[in-house]
Amino acid sequence: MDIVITGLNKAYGEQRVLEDFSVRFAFGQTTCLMGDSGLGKTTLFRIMMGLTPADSGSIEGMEGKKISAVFQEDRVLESFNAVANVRFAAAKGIGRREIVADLEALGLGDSLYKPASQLSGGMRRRVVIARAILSRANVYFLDEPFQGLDAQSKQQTAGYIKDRAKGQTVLMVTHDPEEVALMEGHLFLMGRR
Amino acid sequence: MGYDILLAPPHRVVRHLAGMLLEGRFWLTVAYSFARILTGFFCALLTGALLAAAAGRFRLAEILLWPYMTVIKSTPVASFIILCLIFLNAERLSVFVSYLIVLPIVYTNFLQGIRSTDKDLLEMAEVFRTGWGKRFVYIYLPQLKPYILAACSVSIGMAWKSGVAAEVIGIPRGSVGEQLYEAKVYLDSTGLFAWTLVIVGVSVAFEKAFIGLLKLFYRRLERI
Repeated sequence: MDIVITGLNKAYGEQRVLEDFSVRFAFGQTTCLMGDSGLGKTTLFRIMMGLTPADSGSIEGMEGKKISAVFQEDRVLESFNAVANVRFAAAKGIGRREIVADLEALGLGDSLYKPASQLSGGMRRRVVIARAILSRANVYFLDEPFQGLDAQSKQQTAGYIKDRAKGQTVLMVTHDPEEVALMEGHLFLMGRR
Repeated sequence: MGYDILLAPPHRVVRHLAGMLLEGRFWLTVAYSFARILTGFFCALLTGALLAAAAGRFRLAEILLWPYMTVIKSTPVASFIILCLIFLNAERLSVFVSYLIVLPIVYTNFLQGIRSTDKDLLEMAEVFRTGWGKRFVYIYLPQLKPYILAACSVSIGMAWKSGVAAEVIGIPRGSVGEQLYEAKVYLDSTGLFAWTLVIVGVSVAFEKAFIGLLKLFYRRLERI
């Protein structure tokens, strides 16, 4: 079932972030949202995830769906290692072996048991991507997931996401058209009305 | 008349202490007070943590608890001891008094820790629908670490001070407080200093051991 958003409005005080916003996200596909900063991409994600209430409007197609996210900020558990960070959100039945295999697939084989506080920005990003993917969701919200990654890591990580989230709905915020191409996703340009 | 009654020379105190250490009764006395004061401390640790969790979760609980905690914090220890003597027997006095002294320290520190928990991490856990147990282990426990260590470090000394003070007034048989009381009655300043050294030593040793165990627990936790 597609996700259908109709007439969504959200304002923070006087500042209107989303105004009569409507869109349909196809189920099981990757959609990349692009647009200038401040257009409400992150707010849209927050409303869809149920973290921020909308002022008005409706969202259909999210009922009963398991969601997962890569936030704009890493939101890692600083004192825990990469494996523990992934295990925190891992779906039932996913064991250490699977977590280690995925982290290795993302090039983190040498840093599996280092505390997150000692990992570089790019490494932390890949840890939270593995965390999101291994939570095994129906809808993935990826807010600028490739920030801090070099070209090679981006390619490797995009391949990992495409492979593991195949058949599920992936919504990704990006400012880089190259990342849209890497993800082979549908482009949705957000603009002001 | 010498001045030994007022101020015992250190070498005599040390000799007296060494003699005490060889007596079986000494260890029983220390164990008696140790068991009671630590019972009060651990009960307060548990209750304080649970009340702080409730207050952190429900604003109403914090409002309802506020007057009680304020009264407990500002009431003199001696008033508590005398009040408790009316309702409790001398054996249980040190348990209850050390409990009352430790409770607000633990509650205040833990509540502050809960309040300062990273909201972004809690939101992340909400998105992943992580269970309460995992949230407790992975988010709350690490964030509470400095508050737990501070609360324990301060309150162990306070538990001993107040617990022994309660024993001095209640004079339960076979307690450290009884020994201090007898030292006062017989103007035995050597014994008084020796027992004071014992209290400081046991309190510091337990504090170091307990804080060490907590740190070890956290090191293990971070490696899971």
